[in-house]
Amino acid sequence: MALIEVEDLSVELPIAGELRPVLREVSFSIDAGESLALVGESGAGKSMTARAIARLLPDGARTDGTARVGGEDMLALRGAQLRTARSRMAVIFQDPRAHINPVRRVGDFMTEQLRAVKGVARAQASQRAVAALASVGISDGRRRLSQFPHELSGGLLQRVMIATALLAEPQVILADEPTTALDVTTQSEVMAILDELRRELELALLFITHDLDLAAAVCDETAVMYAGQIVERQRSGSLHELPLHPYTAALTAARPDIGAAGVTRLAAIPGRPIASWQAGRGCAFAPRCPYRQDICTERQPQLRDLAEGAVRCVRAEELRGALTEVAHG
Amino acid sequence: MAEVAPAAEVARAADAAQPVLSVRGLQKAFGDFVAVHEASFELEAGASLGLVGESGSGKSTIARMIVGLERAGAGTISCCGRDRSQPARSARERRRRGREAQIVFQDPYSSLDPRQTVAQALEEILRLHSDAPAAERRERVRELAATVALEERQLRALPRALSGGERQRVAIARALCASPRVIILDEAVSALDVSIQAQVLNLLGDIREQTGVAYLLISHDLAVVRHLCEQTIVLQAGRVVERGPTQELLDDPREQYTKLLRASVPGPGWKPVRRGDAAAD
Repeated sequence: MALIEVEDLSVELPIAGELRPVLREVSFSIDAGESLALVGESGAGKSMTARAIARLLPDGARTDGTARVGGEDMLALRGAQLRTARSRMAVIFQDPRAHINPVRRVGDFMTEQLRAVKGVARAQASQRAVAALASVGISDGRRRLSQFPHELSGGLLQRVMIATALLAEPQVILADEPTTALDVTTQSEVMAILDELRRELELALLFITHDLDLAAAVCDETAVMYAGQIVERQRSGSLHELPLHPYTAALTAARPDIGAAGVTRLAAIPGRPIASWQAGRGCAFAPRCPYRQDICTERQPQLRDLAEGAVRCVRAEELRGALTEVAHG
Repeated sequence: MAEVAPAAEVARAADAAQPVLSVRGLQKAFGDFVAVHEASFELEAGASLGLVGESGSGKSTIARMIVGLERAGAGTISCCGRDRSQPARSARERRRRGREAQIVFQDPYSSLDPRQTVAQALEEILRLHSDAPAAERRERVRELAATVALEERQLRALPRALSGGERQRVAIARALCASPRVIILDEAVSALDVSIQAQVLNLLGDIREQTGVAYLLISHDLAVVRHLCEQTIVLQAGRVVERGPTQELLDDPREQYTKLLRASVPGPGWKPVRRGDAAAD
């Protein structure tokens, strides 16, 4: 059953006095126990997608399409209904320090919702918090509850955030670059924890990252975003091996290879990523694309099924072999 | 850049024998916390050395001591054959050190003056370091802009009108103003998008080729270090735990910690692992 179902989601935000599109016709779904990675560069719309689903968009945003979580359209809910729907999801952000009150103890932060919303007694709430901390690999939870956020390292604090998210017993986790601010060894652990919880608790995980390799390692499926649109979506393993969109292939090739011997120049993508509202009439990636033809700048390509995935490129079929070569030098 | 190449050749030939940067027994403590413990390394002229480690490993503290933003607790730092273990005592001495080593920081959003256009920022530094007439300085600004692939429009812009990648190119151009022999890149490409990071990495390679400048690259990203540096030093909690040619070090790490770092980098077939309990953090 699909726990997250996003269909033709478009978002416009007031920027410099006018409504401008930041997301255009984004569609995907994630089943219970499954995970999808949203990958892309700044301004691609990854975080905005998560924010739209969690209804955390800035004031004045206008949305179109649907974003259903557990069958209910988040975009249509108000008041108490919205609060109930939100309690089904947990959001984990990049910088844990920015999302915890620095002058309250970890225990207060973790148990606030249980006590205030669910009416759980303090002692019992603490007990559940300790158990949640244990499930993310923090065994001395009792001591941690009495500490302040500044006494914990970034990796430890991010685990506290994940444990706190679990206390609400969510069905869905939206994780927005949860390990980007962490060291690589800590990243490995935090990702392992998220992955394990997802499988054990049958959660639907939407994982946002700029790192294609990380996405492939922890998510069944990967969707690549560019300028507010999904340009490619397929199983993570094959995305790496057989990219369907020129942008995916170019991203893979632009990243320095940790196993490479003596590469002196990277296959850089010319130009820079654009915002959704800067896209012209045709394909948003066309100005930077080495395979651009007249047709690419004339009309907007649609996301269509191809092979095991979906792609938004008119030349996808004829480029298949060539892109594999691009991605792997 | 044609006129720069011969000078670079000369510089390279003259200094091939002696290191352009030499650090011996460097120490730094903040209160009881020892941030850097007896670090020693040398950087040869025109070479590129990577300093890798996780947060708290002391890599940025070493960089800050080299450029004089932090005072060394013990040990010596010498650059271009001159000692700089003690703070510069005059503005003249500070400027001279600036012509020896420059630094580019991670965050291009906070390292530029928001009220200065790019051209003004570059010209100010040229004025500090040379007596060249205004026309010559303007010419040099254009040259530097061409080196880092900035356009005329971007030269006239304030930092807020520029993207992260463009700002980082400005920061590199600014470091080049003083024609330094060493540039310290403190996570200088870490905040950039993948496609922009590739452009800047290529640019850094070209600049080294053209000017013979040496890089000390501080990074947590092993793939970036592998791409740019021939030699690498691994730091853990302020101590050097392993050093050697980058390829060997990454393909066949000897120390447990280097192995762990290498194994934590996601790639095809990689799976995240739990190392067990986090109580020790």
